Amino acid sequence: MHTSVEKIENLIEKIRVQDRETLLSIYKEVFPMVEKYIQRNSGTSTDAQDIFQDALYLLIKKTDDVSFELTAKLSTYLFGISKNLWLKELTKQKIDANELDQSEEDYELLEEQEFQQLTRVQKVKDSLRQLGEPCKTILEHYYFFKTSMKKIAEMLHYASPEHAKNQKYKCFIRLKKSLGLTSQLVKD
Amino acid sequence: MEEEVNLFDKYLSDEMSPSEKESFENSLATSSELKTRFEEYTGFSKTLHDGVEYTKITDKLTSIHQELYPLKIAFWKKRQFIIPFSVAASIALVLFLNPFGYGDQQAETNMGYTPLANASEMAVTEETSPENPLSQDGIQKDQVNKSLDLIDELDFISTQPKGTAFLISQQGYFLSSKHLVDGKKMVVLQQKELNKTFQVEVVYTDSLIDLALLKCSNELALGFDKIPYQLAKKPAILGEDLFTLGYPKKTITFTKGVLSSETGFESDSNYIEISMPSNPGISGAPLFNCQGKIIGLMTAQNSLKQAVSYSVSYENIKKTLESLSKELGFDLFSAENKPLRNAKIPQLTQVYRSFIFEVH
Repeated sequence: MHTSVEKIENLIEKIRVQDRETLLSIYKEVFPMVEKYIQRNSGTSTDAQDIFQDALYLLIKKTDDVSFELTAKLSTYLFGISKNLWLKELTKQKIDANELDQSEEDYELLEEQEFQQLTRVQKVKDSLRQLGEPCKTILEHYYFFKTSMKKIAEMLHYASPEHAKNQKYKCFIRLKKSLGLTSQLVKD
Repeated sequence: MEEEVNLFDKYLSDEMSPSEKESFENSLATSSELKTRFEEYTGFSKTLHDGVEYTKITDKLTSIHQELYPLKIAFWKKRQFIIPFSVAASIALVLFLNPFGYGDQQAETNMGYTPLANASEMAVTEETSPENPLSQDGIQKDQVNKSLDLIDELDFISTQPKGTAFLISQQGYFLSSKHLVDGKKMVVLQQKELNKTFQVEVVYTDSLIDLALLKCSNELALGFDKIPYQLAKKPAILGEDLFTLGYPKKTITFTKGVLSSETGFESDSNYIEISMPSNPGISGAPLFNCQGKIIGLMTAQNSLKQAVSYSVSYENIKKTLESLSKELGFDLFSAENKPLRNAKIPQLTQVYRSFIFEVH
């Protein structure tokens, strides 16, 4: 017999390992609420999709921390984070967000540091897409999958690991530049 | 620099010999500059790692989203469905059965709802019947796949335009009212100031919100200047000043109004109500807020009340345009149009007028 605590722990573990079935059932349950909320507050279904996926991403990241505990119902929790993210988005677009129904507890769900982390990874995602190939593959493999330069060189048919390393360095500098530029633009 | 990064990588992936490792760690301890650069590098590697992780997770979630909501197609199908069966959607129904609303004077007066097309085109409208397959909603797939041979240079038309259309994409897409193009595969647009008369194909129609998407040939699209207006970021508020530019007659006409209600005829939330002198022919014209951003699409007037007109709501336009641009793969408006930020309305109209077209 599973106790409810075990059930929740089991759920959190499945979220942590990004189990597709689990994510799908959460998505099915919570997304419609978020979509309705955002559409009522000057957003579109596409906005809702972006916001909800970011909320789920933040949840997945939180479960990496062993001390993470779910303090509310999962749906309430994700809905709260989504509302928070949407408020930030509206503020960014300079839309008057005062009239949104936000409660005190919602604010506490999203720490500033988490939000900044999210903004950073969004920028990396955009920049990587802009860089295109072969940079995207090289950087993804080296810095995420920790593939060795030797393997990457073989994969992409470089004459030698040294060639691949040189290419990786160039991509690295380009990404750095593009990230630097993006952050300046955001400040404007 | 490159060598240093290689050195960092070698250290971080634990490929150094014990002596190399010792000497590297010594350098780190003695040179604070090297240490700073090393920490910057590891920090950046972490950011990159997290960014890739974020990409992978959102890709996965997007595939889940697509599995749950095979969205785009369903959206059009839903729209096609609503029209024949939804008797309650009285406006849509009236437009559907009687696309232009002049045929039956009695019905028009009873309903109090008149699409803002120009009455002089009645003869053409009689050809249209609801049974015509082309009057159905949705993207006209065959036309998207196999583009029609559009004629870019037609003779100048001097008759009264039927309504208005305006450019919304540098790739040659125009927005207009469905009731102006009902049952047609192509219509003719004209812009006298640009000295252009050309054919466009009817790519998409939506009777629920009386909207039509038109497209000209790619060659012609290249000739248009950068679109100076954009979609507003939020809907208009009650009492906000609004204006429109369209063709109630053969020359472009400016009309000013005020948002008088957030719902349209008989409280239809797909539309908004504007207190504005009624101007048949303004159908399909863009509705701008006082910053010159688009917040609506003019569609009809109330024939029982003076100076009451209706426009498609901001939310509907935004939602539909975003879906259409995704589905058909075109960009909306122009990305780089900042210079008109603080312009007064007469300055705006001066620039906007050449992007507003007569529908024939």
